[in-house]
Amino acid sequence: MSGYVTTRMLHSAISMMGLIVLVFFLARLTGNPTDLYLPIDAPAEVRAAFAKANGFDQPLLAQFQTFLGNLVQFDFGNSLRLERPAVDLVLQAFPTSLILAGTAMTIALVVAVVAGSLAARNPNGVLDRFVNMIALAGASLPNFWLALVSVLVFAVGLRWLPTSGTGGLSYWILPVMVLTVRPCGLLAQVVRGAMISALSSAYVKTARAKGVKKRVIVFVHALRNAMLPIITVAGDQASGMINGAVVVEMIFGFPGIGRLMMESIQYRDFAVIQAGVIVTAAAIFLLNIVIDLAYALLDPRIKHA
Amino acid sequence: MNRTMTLSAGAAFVLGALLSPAQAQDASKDVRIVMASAVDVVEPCHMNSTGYIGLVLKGNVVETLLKLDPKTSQPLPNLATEWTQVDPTTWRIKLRDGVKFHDGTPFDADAVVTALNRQFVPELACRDMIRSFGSVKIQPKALDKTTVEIVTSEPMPLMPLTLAQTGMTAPSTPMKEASRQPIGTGPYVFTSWNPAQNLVFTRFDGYWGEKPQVAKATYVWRSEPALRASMVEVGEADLALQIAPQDAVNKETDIGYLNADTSRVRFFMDKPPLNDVRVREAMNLAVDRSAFIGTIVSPLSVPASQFMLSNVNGYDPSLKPWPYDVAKAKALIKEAKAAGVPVDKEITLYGSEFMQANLSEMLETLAQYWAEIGVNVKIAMVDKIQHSSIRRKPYPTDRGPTMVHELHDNVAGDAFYTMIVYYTSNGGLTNIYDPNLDKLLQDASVSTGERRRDLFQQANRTIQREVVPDVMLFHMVSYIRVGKRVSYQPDFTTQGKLELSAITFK
Repeated sequence: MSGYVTTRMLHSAISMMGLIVLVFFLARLTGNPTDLYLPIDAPAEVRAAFAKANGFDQPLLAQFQTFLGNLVQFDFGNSLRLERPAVDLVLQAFPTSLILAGTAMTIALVVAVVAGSLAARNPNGVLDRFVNMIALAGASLPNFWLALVSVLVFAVGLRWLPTSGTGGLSYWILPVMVLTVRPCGLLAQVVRGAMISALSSAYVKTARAKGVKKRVIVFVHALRNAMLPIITVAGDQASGMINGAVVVEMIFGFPGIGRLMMESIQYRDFAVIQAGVIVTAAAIFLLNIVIDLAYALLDPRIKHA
Repeated sequence: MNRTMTLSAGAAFVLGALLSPAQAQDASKDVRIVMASAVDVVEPCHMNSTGYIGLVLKGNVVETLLKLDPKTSQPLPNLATEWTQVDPTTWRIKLRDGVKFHDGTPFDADAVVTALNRQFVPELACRDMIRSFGSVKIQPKALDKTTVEIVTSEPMPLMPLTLAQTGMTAPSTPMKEASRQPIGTGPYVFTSWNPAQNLVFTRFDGYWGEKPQVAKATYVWRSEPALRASMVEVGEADLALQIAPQDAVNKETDIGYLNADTSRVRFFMDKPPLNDVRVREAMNLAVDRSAFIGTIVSPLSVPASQFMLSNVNGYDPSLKPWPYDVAKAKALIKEAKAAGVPVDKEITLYGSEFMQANLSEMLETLAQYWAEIGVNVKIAMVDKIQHSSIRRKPYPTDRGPTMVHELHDNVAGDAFYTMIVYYTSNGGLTNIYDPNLDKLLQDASVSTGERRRDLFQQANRTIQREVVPDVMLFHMVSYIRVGKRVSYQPDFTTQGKLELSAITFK
């Protein structure tokens, strides 16, 4: 097992190197940020001084060399926009996104597993059709629309919740709810499909013949076998959320990594973009290793040598 | 049974607490202002060049020696009580006595000298210095405790207006790095700042002027205009800036006002067909500006005749927007074509969505008007960086006939801040290379009083009626939502300066 983890980490490190190169050069293809930080009528000598002070006057390869040299010392550079260490800004924003993503994903998984399993017990029954319809709608709703409508309904209309911002528990309800709907819809459909397949298998029939309770058959025997595709899809959805629930964070004014990255891209704040991508990628690589290990845990036939 | 009841009561309490409307405004003298973009930099020496910095700091935390009358654009006393031009390159400023910075240090001539010198520290790359002083160098000197003398490297008749833009920071402000906790003399103390979430000011008890009503102001930011408007509606905020026209539906709370921006399409007059004045005139005559108002731009927008608002010194009231006259436009195009001008050659019009709402629709409509008279315009939407590089010198030489949409604001109150950069040969954003016009504008720049105004007006007439370097479009409008418990009247300076002392409680 430890050998497998080491191999996966090595693979991840190679992917990370590729990502670093890609992000560095692609970000710089979007233009010199001088125009965003100086008045448009700034004289040429002021522009040159700004470029020199921030290393933009160097050839691209020389800039990359400096970046790599600093990176091995865990120095991601300073934010051009906020004039603070880029990694501090990223690490400050990251926990908010993690909590948001973690909570939304947990709720989505629980609701999807329960709803999908119950629906699968009687395919094409009333409950199945109902779950299917809701799940399809949930998976199709754009977050942007859902966020604004939920604000209009729950904050402006009913006045139950704050519109946006951070604070107590009430501030988390709308963002988490909006973030939950889409993966929940998607996962419910996956759970339903996997469970229908599992419930029609021979071992379930045997269990039924032996008189095992329905609930135990569904939530213990069948569900465990149906978990692999569910984990795959859930992992993919979780990766997207860790990447930053951009729309939700922007609309609700949540200080997470998605919003930070969005603003950094707008301002060509290269150091923060690079730090953000590297930290996020590391988290996603880690999540993928955990998912692989979960496969082995759930299905003893899968062995990681 | 008891356990069930206890659990139910507990659940109801938690649910009630959870679902109670949060942040509802009470009867306190605290206000909450929701802005469109984050306050991620608070360095006062950028406050006139980066809208949101000035919006929060100017007149609240950091004050200027003089202030501008928004109606007349004339300088008024503020931290300075008198100012005189001793000779063309020397100004003498008399300071208000008894003023203190928030950290307790006295506001005196030495503090002013330090604050002015700080503007020129290379490490800070002060955007206000670049914009206000340009290539002019200054030597400020304290003559006595309340008198400062400023010697300039070249005549600077606009020194009073420049001093109405330059923030006076405390001597303790870091000289070589951006300030993260500005200390000024204003009616509010910079209390706390979380760049990811909010900014808080509290009233300064030692303020020299009249005590404002607002005790504490919290600024927050949300990118979505509908959400900003909703925050005022539910009482989470008292002011919402830059709400969308479609959200400004409540006459009691929503106020539209002319902001300082003027919208235009600039011709690059170096290549045919745009190097022919008949084509440029025809393109102006072909546009029915009234058709845009209330559809693509706000119903409160005003067709523009020149690149500044009417309160700017040098604005010429005799200039009127171009009339809509398709027949005349077609005749001019026909005449140009007969003279060998390739009038149907494709022209690229660049625009950037960040500039204004509904820009694509506006540019497409303009292109339709021009197509009607036989001028072929292709729209190219670009991002902010590309847009800037298209607008400013050095201009690429390998492109075809080009036009660019742009916005410009002049909140400094004098035509100098528009005309030198946009209309003189050496201006960074000019397409006009006319020695006569250069001389006229140079004369205007060093003149004062009525002569200055007359010369700038003359230059404006020459530019708009003889040179025709642009299709002047509209003076633009912004909307603000004001909560029911406060009063606030915005004006054209609001997007760069929102004085909390102008907010009163009903």
